Amino acid sequence: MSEPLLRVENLQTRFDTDHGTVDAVNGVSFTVDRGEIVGILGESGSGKSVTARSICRLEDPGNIVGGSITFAERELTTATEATLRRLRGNKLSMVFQDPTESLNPVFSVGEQIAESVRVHESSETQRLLDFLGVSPFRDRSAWENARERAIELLDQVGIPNPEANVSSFPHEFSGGLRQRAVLAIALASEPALLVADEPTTALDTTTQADILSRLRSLRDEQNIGILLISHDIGVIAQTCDRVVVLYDGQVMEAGPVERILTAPERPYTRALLSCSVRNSDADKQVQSAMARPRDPSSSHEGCPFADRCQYVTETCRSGPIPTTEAASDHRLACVEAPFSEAKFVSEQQEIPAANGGQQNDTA
Amino acid sequence: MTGAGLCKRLLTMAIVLLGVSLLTYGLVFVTPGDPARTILTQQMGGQAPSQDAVDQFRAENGLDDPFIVQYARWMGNALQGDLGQSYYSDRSVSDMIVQRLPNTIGLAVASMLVALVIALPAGIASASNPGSRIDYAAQIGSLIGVSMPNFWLGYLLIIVCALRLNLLPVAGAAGPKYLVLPSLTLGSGMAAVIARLVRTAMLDVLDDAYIQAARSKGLRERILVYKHALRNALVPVVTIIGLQLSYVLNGAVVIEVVFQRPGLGTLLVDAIFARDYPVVQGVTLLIGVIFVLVNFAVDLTYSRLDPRIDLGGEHT
Repeated sequence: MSEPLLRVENLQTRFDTDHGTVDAVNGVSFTVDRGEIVGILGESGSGKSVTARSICRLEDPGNIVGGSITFAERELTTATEATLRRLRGNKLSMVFQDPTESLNPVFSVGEQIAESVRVHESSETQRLLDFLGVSPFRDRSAWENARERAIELLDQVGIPNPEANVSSFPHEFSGGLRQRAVLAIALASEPALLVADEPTTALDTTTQADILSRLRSLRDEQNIGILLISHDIGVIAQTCDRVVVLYDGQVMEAGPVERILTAPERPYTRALLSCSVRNSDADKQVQSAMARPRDPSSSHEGCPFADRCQYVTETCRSGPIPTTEAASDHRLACVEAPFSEAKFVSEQQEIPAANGGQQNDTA
Repeated sequence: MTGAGLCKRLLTMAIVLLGVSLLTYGLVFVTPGDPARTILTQQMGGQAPSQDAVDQFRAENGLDDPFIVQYARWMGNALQGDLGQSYYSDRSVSDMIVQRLPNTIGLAVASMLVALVIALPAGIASASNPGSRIDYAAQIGSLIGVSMPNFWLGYLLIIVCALRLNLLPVAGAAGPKYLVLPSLTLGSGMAAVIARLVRTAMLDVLDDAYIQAARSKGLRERILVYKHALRNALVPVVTIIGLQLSYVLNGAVVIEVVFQRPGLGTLLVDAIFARDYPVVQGVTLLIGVIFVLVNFAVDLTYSRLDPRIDLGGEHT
């Protein structure tokens, strides 16, 4: 088997705060290949955004203190700024959660896309005066071409009337159009891997569905790998091929979406799923337990879910948690694994995937 | 920038200027000292004039008219560029201002240049490397600059550069060489204020999500700082530059006295001591007009810098 596009191995990202260190990501491993969409699912504070930012080496003010990130056969944790710049301009793009915050308010949308196009064309020779647009130093024809390309990209991401909208400013766009513009910026560099951090959280359901279907067609048409971060099981179910379930900076369970979301083996995954399924007999106690995330700065002895797990045993609290393979592509970290179906027998679950993206369980 | 916004803006400016002129004229009107008596004393070489002469002079020059009539007459003339006659010289106030204005404008522009040349790089360097030696040096420099009274710095520069080292002329306004010390004096104080603001504004902006997003496109740090961050940080900085330009005019009063430059500042101070009211009124009105125009220019710059700002003043 050839090397995957992205391999994250035992990644550890730490934040030094006034209240001590926080291990936001604590030994996360997974891979993303070309042509597949991998989801990272977790609650707020589970470390999914930090994982995404670490992959793009935008983890600051956090620090990567261990593990490795191999992308396109390069080690990113030790890469120089110049290498990272080249990769960001050519192979690796990121879409952030809030499109309003991630567009610069004072430059037109077209300018911001064109910039990305120019970086992609010549990531090494970014001359300041050229980018500032100081007239004798501005390469007019290059910017003119980049603008043409920006119009194409706007069309590609579904922004109506791209010739006119290329000159619009971000504040003149709706939230949905802004996120499309952000996607256009990300696609301008023709990435091999697109890291999308909650790209649809700020959007209404119809726009969300459209953006997600665009991500899928991007994967199909351009064979790019996509890492989709979300807290929304519906989004993950609708879009991803594989899913990695994070809790407290650790991988709880990872495997194919159908398998994880229909037959989860890890108690945490089951608890997470039970919260999202409407009209089910979801255990109220589990629901209230889910509302109380662990204090991230406390120690990491044992299983992070131990305090909230209904199947907890003594070994869960003390020892290291082994990772077992339930199937060849299905990993889980749990002392009690593998769980038999009998153990979960009282919990009749609906299949969340059947609910698709129709639900918005942000509550 | 909308046409309606512009009209609204121009109307506001007209009202403000009306207020400024009323205050200017009114303040002098209520200050003690009778212009008729003052002028006649001057004409008679220091002798007190007779009451008849004073009354006659008042009647001839309309000084018995109600305030509002006198104000209207003065304003009507001012609008045609006639600010009246100085009590003590036979020259018109407009003439005196036109003669002095270039010196003050030169000082203002030169000191602003000095301020920006120091403040922008210092503030940007500070903000790009917070906590570094450059940052500390710039901050200490600013602190000194802000704390130092500019007349004192002026004398210090005269003693060191002009008297000891003989590099530059002590005083006067005969050429560009004469501009160096005054503009350094005035500019360094402003630089301190502006540099601190540039630092704060840049630090604020560099923390914004769109900077991180722009970094994820693969842009160089330099372009992030000088294009994406600076353009956003300039909005508050332009405000303070506008205020500082007004400060230049105030500072010019002191600096022109220290360096004995014939400018608006010295003209105003001399006129106040001599109770030469037409000159005081004229210069004050002009300074008011400059303030208003500078503020208008600041607002125009805003809408150029940030497309979200409309001239009407609303921030969408």
